[in-house]
Amino acid sequence: MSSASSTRELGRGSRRAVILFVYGGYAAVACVVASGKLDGSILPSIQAVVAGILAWVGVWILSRMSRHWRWGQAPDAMLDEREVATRYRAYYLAYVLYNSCVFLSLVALSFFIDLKYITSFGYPQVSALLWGVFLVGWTLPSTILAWIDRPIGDD
Amino acid sequence: MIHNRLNVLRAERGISRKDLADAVGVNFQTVGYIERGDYSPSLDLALKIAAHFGLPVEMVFSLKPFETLTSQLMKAKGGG
Repeated sequence: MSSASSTRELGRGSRRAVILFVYGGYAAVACVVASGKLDGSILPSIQAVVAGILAWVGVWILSRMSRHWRWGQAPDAMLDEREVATRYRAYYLAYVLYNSCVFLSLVALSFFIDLKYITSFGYPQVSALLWGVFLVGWTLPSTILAWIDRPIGDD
Repeated sequence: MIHNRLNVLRAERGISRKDLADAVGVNFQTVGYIERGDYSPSLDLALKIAAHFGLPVEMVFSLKPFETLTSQLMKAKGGG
């Protein structure tokens, strides 16, 4: 993996703020869509707008956090031993976090259905749920690397 | 934790983290992590680093903290 830090790369605090914003956005969209209280006719438009915003944010994040993205996805042979070890730790944390999120979401879903907060659960909700599960699972290891990384400069 | 003298050795030889990293085939940030004590290198990497400086590995890495340069100089002065 390229060792040079991009001058455009975000600092640790900014990276964490972006991560909280994006994953908070995931959670907010999931709550709105899963509630099923939106008018069915405007749901596709809302999904399109949300998809557009997520795509834009995704491109921006890739340009500013690309080192972490590559770090999370690159083959072991492209990394040194510390990077591989750190990534294994990130994979483990991602596995625990992902399972916890899926479990808590299923429990919450059951409660909300029992409490009649969710009145309809059709294709749009299932689609949004599965896309969310996929996107979180795909991006979580790189996100954790971006969260925990403390870069050291060359002197 | 594994203690090391990488900072001192690099300063003495006038080489940057990147130079050392390129010589032993790692990311320069990994050298920084080792110096800071945040990462303990594998035996393979420790031997490569020691070989790069032309020193036995125990003179570069140790399980006990190394004596500071000041205390070494004071000892040398006291001894003779």
